[in-house]
Amino acid sequence: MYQDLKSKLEMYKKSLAMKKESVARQQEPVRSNFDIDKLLEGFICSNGEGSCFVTEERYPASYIYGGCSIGNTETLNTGILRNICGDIDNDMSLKDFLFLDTETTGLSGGTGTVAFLVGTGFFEKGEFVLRQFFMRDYDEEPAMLTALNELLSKYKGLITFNGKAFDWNLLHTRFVFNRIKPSMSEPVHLDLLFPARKIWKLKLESCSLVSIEEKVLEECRTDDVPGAMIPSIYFKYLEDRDARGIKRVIKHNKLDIMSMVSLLNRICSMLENPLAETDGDRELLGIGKIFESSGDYQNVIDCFEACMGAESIIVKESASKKLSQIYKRSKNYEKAVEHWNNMLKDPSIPKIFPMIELAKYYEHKKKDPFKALEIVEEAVRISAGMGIMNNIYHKDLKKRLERLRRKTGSVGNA
Amino acid sequence: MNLEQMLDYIKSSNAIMDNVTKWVEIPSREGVYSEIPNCVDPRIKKALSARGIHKLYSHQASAVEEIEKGKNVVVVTPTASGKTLCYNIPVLNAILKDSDSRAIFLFPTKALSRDQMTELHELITEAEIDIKTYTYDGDTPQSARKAIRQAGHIVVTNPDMLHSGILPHHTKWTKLFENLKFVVIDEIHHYRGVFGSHLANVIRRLRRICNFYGSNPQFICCSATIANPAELASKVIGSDVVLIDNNGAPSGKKHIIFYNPPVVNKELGIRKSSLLEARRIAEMLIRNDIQTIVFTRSRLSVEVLVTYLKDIFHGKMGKESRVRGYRGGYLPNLRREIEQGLRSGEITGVVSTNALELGIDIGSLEACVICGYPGSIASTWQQAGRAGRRSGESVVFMVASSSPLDQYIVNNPDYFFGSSPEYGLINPDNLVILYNHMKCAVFELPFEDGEKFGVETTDEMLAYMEEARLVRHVGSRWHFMSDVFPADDISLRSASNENFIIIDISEPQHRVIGEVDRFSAPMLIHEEAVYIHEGQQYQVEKLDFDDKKAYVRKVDVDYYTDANLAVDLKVLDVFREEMDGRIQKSAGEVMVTALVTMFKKIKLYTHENIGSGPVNLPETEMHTTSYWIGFPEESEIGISKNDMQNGLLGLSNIIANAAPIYLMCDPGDIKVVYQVRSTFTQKPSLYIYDNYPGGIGFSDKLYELHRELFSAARQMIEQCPCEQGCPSCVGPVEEFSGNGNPKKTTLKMIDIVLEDICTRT
Repeated sequence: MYQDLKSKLEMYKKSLAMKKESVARQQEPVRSNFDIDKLLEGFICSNGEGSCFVTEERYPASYIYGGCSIGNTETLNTGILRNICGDIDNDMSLKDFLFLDTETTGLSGGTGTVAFLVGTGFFEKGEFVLRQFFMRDYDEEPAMLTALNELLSKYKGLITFNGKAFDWNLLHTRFVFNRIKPSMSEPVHLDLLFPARKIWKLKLESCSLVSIEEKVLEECRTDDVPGAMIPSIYFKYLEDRDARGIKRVIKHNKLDIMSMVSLLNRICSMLENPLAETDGDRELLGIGKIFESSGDYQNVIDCFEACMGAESIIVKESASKKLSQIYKRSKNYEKAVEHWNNMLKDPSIPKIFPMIELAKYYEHKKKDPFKALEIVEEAVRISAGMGIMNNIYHKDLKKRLERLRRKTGSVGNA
Repeated sequence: MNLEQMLDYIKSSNAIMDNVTKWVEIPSREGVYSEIPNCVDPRIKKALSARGIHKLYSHQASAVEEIEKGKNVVVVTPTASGKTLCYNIPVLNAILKDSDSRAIFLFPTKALSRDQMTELHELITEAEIDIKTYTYDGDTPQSARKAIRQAGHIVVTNPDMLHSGILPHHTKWTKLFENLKFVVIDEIHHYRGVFGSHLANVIRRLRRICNFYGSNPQFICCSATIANPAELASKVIGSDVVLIDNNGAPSGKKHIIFYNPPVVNKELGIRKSSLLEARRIAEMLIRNDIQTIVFTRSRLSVEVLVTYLKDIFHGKMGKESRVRGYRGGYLPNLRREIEQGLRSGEITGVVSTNALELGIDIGSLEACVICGYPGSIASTWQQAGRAGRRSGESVVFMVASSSPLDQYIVNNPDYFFGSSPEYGLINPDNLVILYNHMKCAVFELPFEDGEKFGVETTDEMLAYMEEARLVRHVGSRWHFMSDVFPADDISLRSASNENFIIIDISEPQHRVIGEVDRFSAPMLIHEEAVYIHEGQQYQVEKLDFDDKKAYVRKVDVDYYTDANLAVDLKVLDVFREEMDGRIQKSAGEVMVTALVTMFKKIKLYTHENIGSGPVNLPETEMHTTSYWIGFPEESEIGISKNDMQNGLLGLSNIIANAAPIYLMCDPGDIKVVYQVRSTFTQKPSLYIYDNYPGGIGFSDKLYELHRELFSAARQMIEQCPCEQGCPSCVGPVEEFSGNGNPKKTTLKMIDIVLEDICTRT
């Protein structure tokens, strides 16, 4: 039945309109004048599992990237970093962390996706070392992972950008797949994507590393490889051994790691000195939110209070809201009331939220239902004029109004 | 009237009994019991006795014993015979012995998984044991998935989820695959044809992964009664199975009544509509508060019948909601509500497609009305099993439609009540299916040189994939080399996984009310089509074919729409052929092109044609297997060109309906077209093809059953009371041209096919 399998498969493919899978037969050149060892400095790393290609670059501490010298990052205060990664121990320093970024054969995940290039960065003897592991074919994966595993064993933690969901997740799959026990099983994992999103979500259209690099670190890539092209560049290399495309991928991966180093430095200074290091507006609000989630309330209050001077209404409104809630929770009603009143004074901030809060305060704390009723009646008038936008508050207001009227014995005229 | 009185009434009513061709009383049956085998853990025994089970039915005990011996088994017993315990006991037992043990339960539908979960939970709770069971399907929240992967002893899922959500991510399931002891496949007869061929390949992939992690699970399968349960199960799981069919479950008395609607026009052979007759019977039952399920063959007739039955209760407070529809395409919440309503008794009547045929717990209904033969004996018994599941008297009406197969069944009841002649066929080596699953397999684990994936030609296929730049051969292995996720491209249930969604735009707030698969879309939701959902009519205002969306608006009209399909066919390859008398029969591969060209508006109740319109949608192409017959020229057999055309038309109608007598296939799995002058054979030809890309083996089997097939067709025509032809045999007489008698012409053609038998014997 399968005497002419190939033509049959092609026929099916046509009739099913399968994905375009080029079928041009091509003799695979074993060697190329542009193979990787001819194009890039590096060495062949050999171990019991075979060999893979490794490149390494060393940067002096004074090397400037993304607006700061790279050596700064080595001495960062790990204490302050606990705000973005709670697992960091007291005795850890940046020397215990390995920067990590992978390039893969696909983005969909699953066991058929392979990390063919693993970039790492670490500080050693006053220099920043950027070491990249590359598998020149599928059969080099065990050797590459073994070499990587040896490096991992020297570190306690990882620094990545979206590594929790992607890079480390994928590498973990590759280790299981190749029956290699990862020397780092539950690393302390500082994933810069999370703080970056908090800080720049309101400010930037995209929180991708490349866009942060461009807008925040002010580094501009020339001739960068679009991420979506990377798998096909690797597949092409496997066939023709022309590593010119791979060279660009390796550079792309290197820049990603350099950006992470610089980005970490930037986030750290923002955390250490929010008022001076941020834009005093959206970034500051983001830093405040980071402190809020780590529970550092003194810093939260400082940041959000400083947001009162921001131009952006969103920033001012959410900072006031958050502050008033913090004050309310810590029973500092005087401060809370001050913020609610400030919100009412600012014509650009919607009034219903502070009014409800004030009404609650007068009703339950001050035991002044008349004052509360007065506020709620005003709120209902405003809410009625705003249409369906305030639906979420409408029910609450109505219930409150009825109760207060009962309490005060007044008869509604609405 | 209660059911007993109702049956007495029916027996005394000539108007009804005149149409009853067979009334079989299946007496109640005592149970056959066995001691609970010694290997069963005392905690499980305790839980069983808490539920009043002190002994097992004989088949349950046999299953437990065979599984204890390490065998793969297939348990074949009727609906409601307690087959769930056949796998729950051994699996729980094994986990109690070794708490690392894991099991996968596969059910064909999500609804069924949820139902079985409840039962399993009850047993575990009563046994007071710590065994974690989870359902893992599309509805499982992301947050719960990690815990399930790590801790779940029993993972309850469906083949689709196993295929796209579990196997491709096996490294996240190491605990499961390292310790997998059992794979349970319930309702395995459901996995026939395309679905079964897919599942067999999913199991091949599962076995590769188990092998990688060093496990070798046992398979426990359950099946309804078919001719070849052990063969089907062993084909699906790829190894031998022990057949267990010593049913020991008791059952209540059951009346099975074959009902053939009366002929209203003898000349044209027209019978009263089965839909209207089923309506009359259902109405009689529901009016007397007898909880009734009505099965129809299509989604459309579900909706039409719901509309009719709701009419009965129109204006009667609160009664209208006592009749509901149930079918694929309804959203999950609505289905849950209906299942619940049936259990609680709030719903007296439900009209369903075969969606409720599988073991979803809807409680025990008293009556079942099957409107139109469901296409196979196995399905019929399963539908009939929905009435009187536990004990007590129940009744099943099988209302025959005028289709030839229905007429054959209703007139030859022995065929139905004898041992099942139906074979469940699958073709795991269907090239399209195999090729797609090999892509998934290589994605999951690289192939070693010399490794076989079901077929001897594995290497050849991998080499083809390499040319297509999908895999790469390095060292002694084939690696996946693409950035796609291959499981996404394959739907296990149909030729295409791309469903069209149906959006109701009657209200400012648009909402999705259902979905339709890609191949049905041109037929059901072309522009101006009337789409009926929960008894409500909608007209399709716009069909966005590229984005797969249909926008519909509520309407209230007195017609429904029916689309016409034009089919063209080209031969690509001939596998085998032989001359058989004056007939040439061949088997091979063909390309079928289908195009919906127009639709008709059919008036409700009277079913008259009241208008039509064009449909402008792209044609669909399909490459499949076929068996065809070339007839001698008109002049050689002395008939006119017109008679030849009529004969071929008659044959194509009758053969399509005779085929399912020998094959267990769904209506529509096989199609027949004819060509008065085939460009390939140069002769008047009849083509019978598998209605699925690549073919499932139906037409190939029919090539072998050639004479039996045509003999059955002759019997069907001869038994039909009409004079010239009708929908029950060669087709409605209006379809034919000229003055000849289409029945006689078709019989003449059959004689030519069978003539050499006569001369030989």
